Amino acid sequence: MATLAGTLTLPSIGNKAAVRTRVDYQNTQEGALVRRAQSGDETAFQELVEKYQSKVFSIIHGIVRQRNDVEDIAQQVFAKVFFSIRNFDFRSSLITWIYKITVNECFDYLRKKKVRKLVYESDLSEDEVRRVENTEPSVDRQPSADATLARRDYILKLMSRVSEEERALLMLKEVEGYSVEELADMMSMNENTIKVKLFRARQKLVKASQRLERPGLVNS
Amino acid sequence: MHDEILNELEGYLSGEPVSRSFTRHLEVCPPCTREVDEMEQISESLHSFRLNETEAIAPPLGFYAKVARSIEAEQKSPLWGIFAPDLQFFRKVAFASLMLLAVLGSYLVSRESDYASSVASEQATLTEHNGAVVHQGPAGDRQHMLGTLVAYEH
Repeated sequence: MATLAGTLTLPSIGNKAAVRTRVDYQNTQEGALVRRAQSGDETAFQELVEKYQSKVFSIIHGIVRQRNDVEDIAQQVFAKVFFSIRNFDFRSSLITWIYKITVNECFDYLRKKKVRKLVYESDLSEDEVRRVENTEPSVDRQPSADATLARRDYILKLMSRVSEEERALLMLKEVEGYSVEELADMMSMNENTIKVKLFRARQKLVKASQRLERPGLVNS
Repeated sequence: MHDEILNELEGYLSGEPVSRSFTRHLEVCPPCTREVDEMEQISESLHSFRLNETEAIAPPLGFYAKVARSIEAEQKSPLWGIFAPDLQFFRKVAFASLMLLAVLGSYLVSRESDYASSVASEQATLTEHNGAVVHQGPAGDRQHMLGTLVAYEH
């Protein structure tokens, strides 16, 4: 995992413990770009979109796994970034902030899609529902594909039980592979705070999994 | 979960080497072992959100133009007008509401105390004059009449 630029570890006098300086995101090149975007400079916003669009597409595809919907969600994400960039306060890196928006937009999309599916299916007869399920494009009827899908559905359900911040933190750790140290830098938080937040989030997931009916696939 | 596990949990779940005390604790503490096992399984499940290099999707050419169009469409939408104000706007509304509440509250409290004191003084006057009726004869009647008029005026 690449370390973040600007992270310094300074040895403290008379103490073996290293003191970590807080990354000043405001005075970086990116900070200047963000400030331009905040003041309404459209070229700066375009630069931000072009810089992060590939990353946003990857995050969305990783969660949603529906190629057709990735672009729509990405558009929503950048629209949100545009409308709320004035509230970005440099407490975290820009990519961390965009990451949070992206993950939440994905979960929002999945929730809405589930509601739409339920409403749609409630209008159909049992035979029609069965036919629709068998013709869904993403479902390959092989057992392994079914198992993967069930496992993904299960973990999506679990992840919907934690807060937006916890979800983003877990995703950054488990999916993006950032270490606690890196997360502490990205979020401008103490390493212990990150550990405690992650631990609480994991405990919530365990409790939720105990309440939910397991598909029996988690161990696979 | 015990502290010796909590301190190294994130490292353990990332596959980093852990201390001897960590593994020794897991050997003797079934509740910690159970919880760590559950967390490990969930952690593995979360890896299903990772993308292989072959699965990556490149953004289409002209993606920014589409973003710009969707922003324009949202700006034109009348619904956006309700939600567009930024945090500052909502802070101001909240502050104004609090101020209004404070002003109304203090007005009500001051009125309440005025009313209570006026009622108390009227009752005192009446009691005083009623007492005068009993003990002072015709002079008391005059006092009583005056007291009634004062109360009526109030």
